Amino acid sequence: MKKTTAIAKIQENSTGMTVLMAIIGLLCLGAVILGVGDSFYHSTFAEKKEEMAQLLSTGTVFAACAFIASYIFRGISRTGIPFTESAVKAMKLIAEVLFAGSFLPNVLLSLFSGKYATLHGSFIEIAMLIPSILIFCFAQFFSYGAMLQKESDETV
Amino acid sequence: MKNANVSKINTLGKVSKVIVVILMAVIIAGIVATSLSAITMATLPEDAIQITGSAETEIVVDESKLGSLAGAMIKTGTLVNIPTTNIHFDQFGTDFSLNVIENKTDDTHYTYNIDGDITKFNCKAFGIAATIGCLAGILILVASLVSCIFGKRLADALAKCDSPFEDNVLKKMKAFGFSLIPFAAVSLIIKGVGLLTALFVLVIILFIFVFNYGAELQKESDETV
Repeated sequence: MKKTTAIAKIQENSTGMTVLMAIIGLLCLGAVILGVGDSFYHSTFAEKKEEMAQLLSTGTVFAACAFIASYIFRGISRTGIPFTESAVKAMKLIAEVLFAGSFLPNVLLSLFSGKYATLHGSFIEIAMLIPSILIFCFAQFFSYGAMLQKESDETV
Repeated sequence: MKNANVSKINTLGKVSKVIVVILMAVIIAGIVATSLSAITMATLPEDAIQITGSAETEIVVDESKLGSLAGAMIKTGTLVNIPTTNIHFDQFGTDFSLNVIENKTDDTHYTYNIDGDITKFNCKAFGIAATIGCLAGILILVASLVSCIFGKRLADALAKCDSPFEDNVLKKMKAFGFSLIPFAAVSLIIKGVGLLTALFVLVIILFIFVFNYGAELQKESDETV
């Protein structure tokens, strides 16, 4: 695939992804606000500690990741260049947010219950930890790509 | 000397390889254990286990008669921790119910009423249902093992690569991507086509273009040198 074709394809896809990620972020935030609001309105927060801890942590973590991803894709859709330092930083931030999200539900549940408690029997959620590690790895690829991009720009 | 980023990628590749090997060992142990369970469940005779009956229990806790330490243990759920439950299972020839109610008469008195009832129990049907469950579990585990094998190859390539955009790594990455298809199929069967599946496909397509672009940059860089 030619470099210009690849840039055009990346740009096309990134524009769609910017919008999609922003919508997902808003949906996640909406779900958190509606869920927590409903439990306060019906005074069921104390009964639904587990659901609330899960909703608050997972919802806000996913919303944060979606908004950061939307920011990355917006940058890519403007220039068509995926390998930039700001994209690398933003990817590392997503990895960090997901890492925090791997134990946040249990921290919130423990706070709500007033004692140490876990949702699924383990303090760290593997389902969040693995994507966090994977995205960190991809951030390293992008970091190397950014270096190649700089080299390419300087050569031109 | 290798570029600092490439050295980090090599280290990540080595670490990933170790994690994948551990994961493979766990999955293989899981396949063996699940297969043994499936065989045991499939060969359960119809009248091997017969259960009928009911049970009623009342647990009364009077905190005022407890010392401060025991009281604290009750409050934090360390001493008595009975979650309220309302289960009614009526499938596969088995009818079973369990009801746990927590009554708080005042600040220091708690009563737990536990009601259990089993009217029908079909051992053969239970065995068949459990065997089907085990076989589904084995399928998922085998799909995971296949992905792990390709994941290990990718980790191996990353551990030795001079660039994450070299042909060998890209080939292994594509193969790893294809090995995830069984998971996608299971997800489609269970949940149908959802927003997340569509998003996953879009991200994969985007990554293919991004990595192709990276390979072009790498080629340019190599030709310049």
